[in-house]
Amino acid sequence: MTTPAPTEDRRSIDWLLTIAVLAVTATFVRAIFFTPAEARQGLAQKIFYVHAPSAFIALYVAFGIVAVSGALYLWLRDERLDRIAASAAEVGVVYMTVVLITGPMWGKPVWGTWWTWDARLTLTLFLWFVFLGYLILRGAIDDHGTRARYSAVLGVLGALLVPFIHLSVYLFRTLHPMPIVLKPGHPSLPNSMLATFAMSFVSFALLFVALLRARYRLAARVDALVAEEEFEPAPMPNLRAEPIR
Amino acid sequence: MPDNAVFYHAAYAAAVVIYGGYVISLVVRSRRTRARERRQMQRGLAREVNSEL
Repeated sequence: MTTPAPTEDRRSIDWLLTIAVLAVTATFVRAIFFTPAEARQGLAQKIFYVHAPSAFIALYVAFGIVAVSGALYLWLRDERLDRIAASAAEVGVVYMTVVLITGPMWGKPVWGTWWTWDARLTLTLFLWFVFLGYLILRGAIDDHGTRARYSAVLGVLGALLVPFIHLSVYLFRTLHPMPIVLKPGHPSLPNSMLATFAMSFVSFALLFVALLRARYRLAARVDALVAEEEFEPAPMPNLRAEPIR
Repeated sequence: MPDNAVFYHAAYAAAVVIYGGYVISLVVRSRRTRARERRQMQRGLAREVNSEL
């Protein structure tokens, strides 16, 4: 067993989470008050500073961790890997929810429609459903080993959508814009916007690390509790002497 | 420049609600786990006292 003692880390204030929340707040302040608006798209372009970093971290980092940890779990059967995968999936679903809500809010004023069933958007929605299913599957299975094994397989298979989502803007005709920062050559953003994007990327990455760490610690404590409860002796039945007849 | 500030305000508000809600859910779950740990510790102590008696 690799579960820690239940007494491990019970502090109510998580310093890393506090720093991450402050960093995201500073990013919002910079994006809202100190970053120029784009001339053609107007203020709606500022949604990019929340949408793009959240999408990048969910797709490539969170679901990448789920796939790698899941594959390693199937090989090594180390329950810490299962815990990492489950934590990354939960935080990834939160990030992806932000992506799926902020995307249409940018699409309506810029494209003229909230949603279109093109390859990038549809595959992203499918990915969200797959990892929502991953979390529901974990909640539906009591046996730890079975839960870890099934969810590892689903996590690996679900993450196979990520390369298709990445390539969808190149392979299909889609309304979704091509990458404007992470692309060969120079980013097509002016320096003031690029600095805000870099800051938002770093702060959302820091928030991801803090949330993943907090979720992992919580999972470790819950696993330790469950393990101890399984080994607890059953309460003694009330023995009552029957009168001798 | 088009006037579409309402979309950007709504998107930032939605992000704050979702990320903030998740942080709050972690805090609530952590407190519940702490209460469960305390109950388990008390049960363990009670068993030790009973076995000594």
